[in-house]
Amino acid sequence: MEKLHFNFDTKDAISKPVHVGVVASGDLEVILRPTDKQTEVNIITGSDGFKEVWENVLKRFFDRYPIQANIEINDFGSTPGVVNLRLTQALEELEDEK
Amino acid sequence: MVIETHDLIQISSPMELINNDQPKWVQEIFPKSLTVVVRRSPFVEGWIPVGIRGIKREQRFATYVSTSAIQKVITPYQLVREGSWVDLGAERKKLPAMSALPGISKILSGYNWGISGSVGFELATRTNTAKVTSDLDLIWKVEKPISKSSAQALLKKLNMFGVHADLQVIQGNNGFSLEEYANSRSTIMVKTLKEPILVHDPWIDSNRVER
Repeated sequence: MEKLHFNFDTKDAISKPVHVGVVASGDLEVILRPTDKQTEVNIITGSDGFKEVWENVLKRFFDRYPIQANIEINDFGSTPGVVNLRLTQALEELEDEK
Repeated sequence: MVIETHDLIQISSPMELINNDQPKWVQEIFPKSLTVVVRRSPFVEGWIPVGIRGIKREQRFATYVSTSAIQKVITPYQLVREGSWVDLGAERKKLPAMSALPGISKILSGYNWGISGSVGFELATRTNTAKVTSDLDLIWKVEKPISKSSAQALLKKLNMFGVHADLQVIQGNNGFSLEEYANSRSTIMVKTLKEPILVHDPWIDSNRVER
């Protein structure tokens, strides 16, 4: 198990918390919470040694969607494709609640 | 022979794997089981997409085996039909995920269900793969859609045994988490051969995608 921490300077504040994904092999949970501090991503992953992959996935995500949020991710061995899909799903939920 | 995602394939030798830079752990652990797991990925003419399992979660290696290399196919459903956990050694039976199986098989009696993940791999290969912390990964081929409330009730029963039981619903080549469906308010993720997608209704939408 590995704990990862990232910060981003993104400024589109979100208004509501969102929770997507499930606790299951090959999947992950993503929780977004509003914050007035710097965007923070805390990841707990069962797959060690993928820090760079996470960093790339998140960087690409925030380049496109510069949301300001406190983000918690619990990963159970998901692929980058599944991670991207869950992040997209979390964004859609944010849109729905506007 | 129809080969599906989650099936376990035994091959005769590590030489049968496409040799694309196998990590050291593959070379150490694979000869003990000579068994690969079919991945949810498109088949390429004569080649089956498979994964090799290591001990740790990050130890997963994707490769292909030729259909001609197949010695034996064991399906997750067969592990259930044969009651494969009954003659497990006493120590292994004590693992939470293993000890849940007799109770779970009573609840799922009459369902077309199978055992995947580390528990299925251990039952098929008799190599010590499951851990004290292992979840119980189950798959279920459904005939008809079920309601969210029935899904919730079923999951509640399956999770009475002190281990997290995860049930993946299988429709054709697609799979989705029953837990996500049971709790969903908007979209849910369906894993297809090509890629994961988001749908509003997994029962209808997944019938529309290619098989």
